[in-house]
Amino acid sequence: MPVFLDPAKNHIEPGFLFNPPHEHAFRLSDSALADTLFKRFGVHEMDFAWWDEPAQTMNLLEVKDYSTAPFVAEHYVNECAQKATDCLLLLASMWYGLPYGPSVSECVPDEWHTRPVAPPRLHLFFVLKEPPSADARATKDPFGMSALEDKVRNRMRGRIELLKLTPATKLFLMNHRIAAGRLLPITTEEDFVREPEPARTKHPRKR
Amino acid sequence: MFTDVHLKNFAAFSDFHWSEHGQINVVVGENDTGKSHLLKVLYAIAKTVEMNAARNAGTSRVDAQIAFTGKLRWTFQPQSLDALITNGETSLRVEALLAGKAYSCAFQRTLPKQGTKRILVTGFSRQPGTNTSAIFLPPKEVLTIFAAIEISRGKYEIYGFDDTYYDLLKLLRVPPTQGDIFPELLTIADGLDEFVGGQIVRKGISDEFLFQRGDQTYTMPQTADGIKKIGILTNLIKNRSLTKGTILFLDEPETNLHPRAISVFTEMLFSLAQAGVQIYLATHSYFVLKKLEILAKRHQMSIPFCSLTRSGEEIEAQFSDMRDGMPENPIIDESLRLYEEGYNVDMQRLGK
Repeated sequence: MPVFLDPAKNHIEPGFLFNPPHEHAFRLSDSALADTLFKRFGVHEMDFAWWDEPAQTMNLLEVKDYSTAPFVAEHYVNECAQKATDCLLLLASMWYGLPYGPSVSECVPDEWHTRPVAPPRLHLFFVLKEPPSADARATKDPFGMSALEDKVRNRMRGRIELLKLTPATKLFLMNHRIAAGRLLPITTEEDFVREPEPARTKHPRKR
Repeated sequence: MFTDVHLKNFAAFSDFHWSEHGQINVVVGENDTGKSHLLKVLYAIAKTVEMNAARNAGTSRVDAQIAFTGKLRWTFQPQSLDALITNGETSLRVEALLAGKAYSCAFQRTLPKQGTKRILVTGFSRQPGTNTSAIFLPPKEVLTIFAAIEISRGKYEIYGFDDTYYDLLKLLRVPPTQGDIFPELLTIADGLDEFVGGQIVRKGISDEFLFQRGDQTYTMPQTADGIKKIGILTNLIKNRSLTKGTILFLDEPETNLHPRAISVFTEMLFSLAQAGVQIYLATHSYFVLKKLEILAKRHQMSIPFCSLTRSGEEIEAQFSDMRDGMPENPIIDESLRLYEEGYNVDMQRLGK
């Protein structure tokens, strides 16, 4: 039985809060797999997962806060690729009837038991939290984030193809502001704790 | 339309084989990786085929040999044809499949006291029914330097402006057709005129090129280079030099264009390809690549992609298709390097 996240609560990942869109969101790290596959064999998992019923899509999300740390692109690309690859292998063991498949299927919702063939689809999201000055930089270097996405996508392309997932899989990489605009169920910790501005009251002009 | 190209010991290409061609073909690589050489050798082949097909009389093997080697010479402007042979090699070979017909040229390095160079060409003799035309848009716009090209290349035959410039100039001399233009091509030309808010026309006693916007006219030195670049393309459509079946080569089409104009221009190139023009473009621009990637995915159209890298004296080529996404290339790498650099500069300023 999968361990579902409480939709009434926010779930913390450094720098981010995940707001489960419904009661069928989960974290692979909370499952029984954590003690077996993840710790024993050093398998890495993406942070959050949920099923989008209207879109018939499995969503996997990896968030990373680089707003206060030096950024090394190659390291980040490797990390994204490793986590996504491990997750795909994990799920593929279930889709292709491999020995660990039954254990995996117990830890994910029923909708995830069938290999995505468009539909169902599989979306891999990578969200990077940038420092506050990144917006100004983006106007000078509009392709930095896009180049990062291209790099991760290129790293994953062959692996996705080998697992026969190409037509059903899309990969997106974006910063936290774009992620918020795309209505991904995450907020940054700063946005969450910021007090809402008091509503402005219009005072009638004195005549 | 080219469907296969094989270069053996041609300049920096010791063994280059490109077998998957599409309506749009993209070449990327850092400086000095042979992008322009590749476009130019394809152009020399296609232009020779076009010129030989236009002749009334049959073309002998000697004529064909002179035509192609002459085109190579004036397109590359080397000290001698030997300079086109890879360093350390004794001969080169160029092979291509164009409109289903095979063309090739091979020659050896001239040795001391050897006498006349032996050049072997096949396929370049006159082929009735061949309907190939080629246009090369070089990085510099030609409208402002029309007279300089005419005099240096046309009158005095001085090296400087190669045949990609001179041939373009000859095409631009042709006035707009009074006949019909394929509607889809006319739509493209009109779209480009609309984007720049006017058109490049020939007017006045001296029949000079002018940019006309509303009631105002501007000489070419007064006109922005980007507008001239777009105007060249629309003029070629309007005089029917650029039409269905044309092979269009563009070396760095992004030069002088604002990113917004690059996007519009690239979209128009895509429309030309859809209308039946085969395009080869070499670019350093992420804007061009990103736009083509989006168009390839949206229309599920194959856009073969050739990435050239230099390894010592050797040029290596990697081939992929933009329909499958943005391939690995040095433009991504540099964008990423700049992103990382900017990121960490910001971090230092924040004291982290």
